[in-house]
Amino acid sequence: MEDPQLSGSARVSEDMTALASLERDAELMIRVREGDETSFALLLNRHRGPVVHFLYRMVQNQGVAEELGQEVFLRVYKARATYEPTAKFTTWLFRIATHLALNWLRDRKTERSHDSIDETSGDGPARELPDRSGTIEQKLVRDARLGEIRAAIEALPGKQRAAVLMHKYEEMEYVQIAGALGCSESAVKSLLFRAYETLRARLAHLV
Amino acid sequence: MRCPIGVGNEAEVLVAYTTGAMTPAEQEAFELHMAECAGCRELAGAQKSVWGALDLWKLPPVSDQFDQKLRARIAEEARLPWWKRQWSTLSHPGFWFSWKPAIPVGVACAVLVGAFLLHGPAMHPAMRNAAPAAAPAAVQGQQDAQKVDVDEVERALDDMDMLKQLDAPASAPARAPEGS
Repeated sequence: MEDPQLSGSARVSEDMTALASLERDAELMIRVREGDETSFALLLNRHRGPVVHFLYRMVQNQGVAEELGQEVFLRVYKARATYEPTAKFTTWLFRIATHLALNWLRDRKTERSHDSIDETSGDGPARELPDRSGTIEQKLVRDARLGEIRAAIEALPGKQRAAVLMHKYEEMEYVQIAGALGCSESAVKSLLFRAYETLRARLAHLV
Repeated sequence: MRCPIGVGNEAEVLVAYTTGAMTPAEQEAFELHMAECAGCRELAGAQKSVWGALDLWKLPPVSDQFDQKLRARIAEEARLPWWKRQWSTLSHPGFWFSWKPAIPVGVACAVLVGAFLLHGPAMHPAMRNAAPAAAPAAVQGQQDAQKVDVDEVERALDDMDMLKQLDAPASAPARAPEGS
């Protein structure tokens, strides 16, 4: 029969080796698995902004983006017991976020309404960071440019949109984007290049 | 450096150049090439414009209630009995969406099975009644049927022998006058 103390210490040693090679996020998540709520708060603090902003650019609606962002972290929390650090934590996180955003976009396409969103949301224009500098004319030009950017991104197919947003704003590598989208690295390159080609045609005149 | 447009990997080179993912040597080589190649120069300029335009899109910070709402959802989730937690997963539109492609296939299979049950080869009423008796009765019936067949064949052979015997005396007197 196996010595429990020996197997326990062997497991700890294995865990230590695994932890040494893991990034901090995965380490925090392992602590969450063990019941450490502070580690979950730290993870939330680190990734709340990038996840919600990614979702915001995907769905172009602040209220929906925040609701989906809460769903992402709720799923992470619910999956804590079965979490295994097989992939980079951010890849996993953005995989959940992308999945939720693509589902929401598909559902909206068929229904064009989403009643469960609270009063801060709606299908109205998305809120942007207010820029109070410059004259009214400059502001109008800026708004028009921003409108074109948003429209160009919105016109991209869902997966191309997600790939561009992860690449441009989250600075994720091809392999990570591939993990998040559940496709190969070469498929990601193809998605990105097609998306940038479309964006070049639509936005090259802006700057 | 060979022209990336000619080779067909201009997109990869352009993205790498714009994002600063090239090594200094690669970047220098591409810039030297661009000085001579108008096509690459134009594409690189357009890609840089796109990159710059996307930078214009700034977003507001996440609302203050985000964490509070998340905590409330986690607490709400924890209060649910286990079967409701499972149900919340099942009833989530995303869950069913992932099964959407399988739904028509499942429905088609169900229709085929239903059609087969309704219009398939009908069972004889006697067999349907005898169905619970199952295998032993069926085997016995088969053996009986074989026995009946053998008896019938034996009987038929006997009848043929008898006919031959009857036929022989009947044909003999007919031939007798011929010979006389």
